[in-house]
Amino acid sequence: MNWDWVEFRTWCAFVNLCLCCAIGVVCICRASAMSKDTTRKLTRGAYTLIFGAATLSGWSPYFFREWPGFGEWPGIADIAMATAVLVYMASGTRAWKFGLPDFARSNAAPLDPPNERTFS
Amino acid sequence: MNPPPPQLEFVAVMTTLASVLFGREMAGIVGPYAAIIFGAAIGGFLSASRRPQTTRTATFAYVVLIVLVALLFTATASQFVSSYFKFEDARPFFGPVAFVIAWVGPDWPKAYPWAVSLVRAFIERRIGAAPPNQPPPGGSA
Repeated sequence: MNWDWVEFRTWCAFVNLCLCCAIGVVCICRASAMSKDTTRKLTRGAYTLIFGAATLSGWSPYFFREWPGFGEWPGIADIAMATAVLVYMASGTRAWKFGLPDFARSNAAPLDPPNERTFS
Repeated sequence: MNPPPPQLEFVAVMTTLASVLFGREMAGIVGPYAAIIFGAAIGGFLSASRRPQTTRTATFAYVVLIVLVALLFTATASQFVSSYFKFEDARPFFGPVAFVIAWVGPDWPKAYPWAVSLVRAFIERRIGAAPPNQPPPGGSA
């Protein structure tokens, strides 16, 4: 079998780019539900980090190859990692469907006072 | 002997397109712009998450718009910054300056007086104008 390594890594880079673009789209969709007054700083920072890392990882073999330390071709491991991040983010779709979830709020309502069922 | 027919398979077409779009020559041209776009995208995302809650389309449009604004102003602002810090090359400042432009984003009107005073100080330094409160050389006799 004549294994075309160049074409393989090109396809890996393309698949990785598609996955990273999907991660970026999810990040921007969630940023639309955030605001300065209602969202925890940690949540905003985490999504900014994920957005930046996805942008770098996806476009690195194409546009950032001139930068020192960048431009390496992604492989199966990078695709697996991007898939895992995307699946993890997609698993929170239900929580983010109707706006900012409680765990991301800085002004979340306090918990109900403990009642008898809590300790029974 | 006839030449072989051109490959029109999907894979061949996509590979050719990718090599044209993302080739080494194109990467050399796009390189500085990539730094600006990357910095502006991160800053734009931060400022988008700071804005009041909007629709997804509006957030996408905002990020695209702020990246375009950063593309317009980054080169000039980087020239100012590099000459202020006495650097010959402005390119290392492209990414950070684009990040700041996009990060401040909709709050630029609030930063307007500060930016004006900064530009005024820069111009005064360049033309060698004396500060208004400094006494004239030689002192008062």
